[in-house]
Amino acid sequence: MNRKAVTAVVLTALVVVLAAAAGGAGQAGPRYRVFASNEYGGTVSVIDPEKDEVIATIRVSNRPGDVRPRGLGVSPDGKTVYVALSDFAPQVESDEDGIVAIDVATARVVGKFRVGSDPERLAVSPDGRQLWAANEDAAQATGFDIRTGEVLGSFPSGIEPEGVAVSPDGRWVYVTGEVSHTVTVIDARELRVVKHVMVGARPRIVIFSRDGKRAYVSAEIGGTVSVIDPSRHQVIHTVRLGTNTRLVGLALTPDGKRLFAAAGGTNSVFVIDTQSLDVIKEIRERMGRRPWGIAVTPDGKKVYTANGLSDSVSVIDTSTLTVVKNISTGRGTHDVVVGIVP
Amino acid sequence: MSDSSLTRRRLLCRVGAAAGALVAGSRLKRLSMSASQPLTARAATSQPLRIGVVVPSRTGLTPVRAASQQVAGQAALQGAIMAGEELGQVAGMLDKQLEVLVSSAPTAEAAKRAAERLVDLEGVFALVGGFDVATCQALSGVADEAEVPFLNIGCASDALRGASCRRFTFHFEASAAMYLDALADWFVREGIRQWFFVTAATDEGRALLARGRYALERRHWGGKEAGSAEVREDEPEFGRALDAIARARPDLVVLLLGAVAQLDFLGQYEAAGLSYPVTGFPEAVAQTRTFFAAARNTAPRAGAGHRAVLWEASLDDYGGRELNARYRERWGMPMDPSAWAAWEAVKILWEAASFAGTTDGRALVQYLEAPDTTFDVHKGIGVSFRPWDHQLRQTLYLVKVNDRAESAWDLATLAGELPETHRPGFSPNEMLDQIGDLANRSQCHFGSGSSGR
Repeated sequence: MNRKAVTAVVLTALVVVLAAAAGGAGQAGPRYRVFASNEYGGTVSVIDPEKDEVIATIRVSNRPGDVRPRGLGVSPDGKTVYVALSDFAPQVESDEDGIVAIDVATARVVGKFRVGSDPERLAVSPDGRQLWAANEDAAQATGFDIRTGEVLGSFPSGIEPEGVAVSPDGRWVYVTGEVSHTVTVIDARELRVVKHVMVGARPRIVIFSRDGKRAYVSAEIGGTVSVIDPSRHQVIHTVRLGTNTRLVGLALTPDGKRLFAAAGGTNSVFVIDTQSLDVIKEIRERMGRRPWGIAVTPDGKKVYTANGLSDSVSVIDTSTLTVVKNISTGRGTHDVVVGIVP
Repeated sequence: MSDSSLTRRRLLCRVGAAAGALVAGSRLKRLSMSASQPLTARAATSQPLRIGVVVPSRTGLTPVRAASQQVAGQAALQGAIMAGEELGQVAGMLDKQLEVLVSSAPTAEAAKRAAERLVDLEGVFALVGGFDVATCQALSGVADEAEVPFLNIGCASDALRGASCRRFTFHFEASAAMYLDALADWFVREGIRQWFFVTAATDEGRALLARGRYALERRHWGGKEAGSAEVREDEPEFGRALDAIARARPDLVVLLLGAVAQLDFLGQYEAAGLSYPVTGFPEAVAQTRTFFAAARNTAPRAGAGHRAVLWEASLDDYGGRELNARYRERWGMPMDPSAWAAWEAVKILWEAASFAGTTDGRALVQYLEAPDTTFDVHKGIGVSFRPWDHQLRQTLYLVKVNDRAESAWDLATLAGELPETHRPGFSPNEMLDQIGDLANRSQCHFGSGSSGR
């Protein structure tokens, strides 16, 4: 082997090693993609959290401003992001009302489902088989089987339903009613409404803890987070953050120890210790305007907020609890979720 | 799947039929609970929670002038019925019963009798209504006597919040002071600073003039009075006032008159060829699309100006789109402010009984005036009653009457929100107290430890 050949082998080996190292770095953990819906832009922005830059913009509405992407959901494996899409004609279900499925890896729309009129927000069941949507104009929630394409049923909820969540064991579906200040409890196995619970004024978002022992409900006008015991479907505690906060989005860290609450009225994010239910910090500095949607990366290192009045996403470092970057997205950024690239 | 088979529309029809029967039949059946029994336990028992709504609606038996007031009354009746249907459904979900009983009363005396009947025979725990001062005072008196809360939804008079304030009365309708401050805020900021006031030759008219001057000169710096003229509403000949306006050459003419007199004046103003912008005091009738259409038809130019309103049927944010759409589906017409006020008043009372856990009048008053009690009224900000005079803090809207409108739907276009509430860093009360009389100007001092005025 001559010197040139040796050099070539060494260089080739080096490239392979570097490539492997680079690949290894990428494979050290899953790669994430942050998806943000832009209500008035008719698009979904895709953000690479490695650089916190928008790497793609997906058009989901050909009538921006009239047909609005709002609530987002993600499949349990993180591979599919769902977007609730509703037309601007309340009380009427049209072809433009639906839930759009986006493949996280390719950032392409791969399907659309009809789940009743005016779906505002949605949730995916833990087994990934069911979609549950809040039909805002119809005062009901609709369950949908993704595999069969069948509607499981439509269930009466409070007035102007919005937030939806499915319990980790797949048994309960919680749906908030903005006007009635209620959470409707649907038994997803028996497909029936079992209870309605009053919470704070104008409840928006509901989420379950990973162990299923708690559900948290934000109330925009009440400025509260209601803590519900799902075993009894009863409010067991109320965290009062102030009526000027206009709380909407809620997200938990993967270990469940911290709850992040997006406060659109004060342009801030509250960090709550879930054990003591005390506020650890209110993050205000550099926050975008009117944060509503909020999501934590699966590794728990970052929090993203969807800021409706500044058309942006703010990035919070969970180790310092500070905003480290603001990313321009699209008109009326409404919600945000994190998907996983396989 | 019994629950899923009960669609919302079917439920509403069922409740709607019940509500319709109550309105149409006017047969007020006696409750098993006697009138002398306390209502305290109702919220916690299976007894229906009942709210009485007393409004002037279209009976076809009243004089033409009274019929103008019934435009607002009819809308309020429809709003109350819809609230009974929708919130009755919510109550059912929570294993409670809510009934809204509506009574038509074209005069203050009739309203008093109806309210007493609703309290004594039907056991309502609260009253809603009022579209003229006499009726509001009558209902307020019944409320104090029976110790049930009364929500005024149509009387803006500051006297009701001041010299005539009563313990059990709460004002959902904005006060005259709020409307005048909002108008001053808007027009002065737009550079429309020289105002000419046209007022009625009554105590109420003079009170409005005094408060208008205060709004212009004290609360919103930069505005000035260009002149004023006092007129008799029952003798609608406005020649002298029109001459005075022509001489004053104001930026704006402000009609502090009743709705009918405003229309009379607009007609003569247009005929006189005057072209200064005109706005009018937004009493309940003058906020309806029926009034807008009449103003535009009477005076195509002067009648198509900017006006303050409590609600607008084209509002889109904070669930307004959904509420307006449901009203449209239910009644086939835009949701006028008095319809909205009735709907929200019923909602407030239902929520107060639910969250306070009682229908006891005294306890409800305490709940309603508590500083940390807030309500959602589809305006994107938590609203509350001022403890000192029981006035609801809330935003108002400015609309432009559309001179080219082809239907009731596009008769008005939203032009502004007052005060602006999107700025971060202020509490809802701080923002909303930018309009209206604060405690230091009020003759009413509820909620300060005293028993009242």
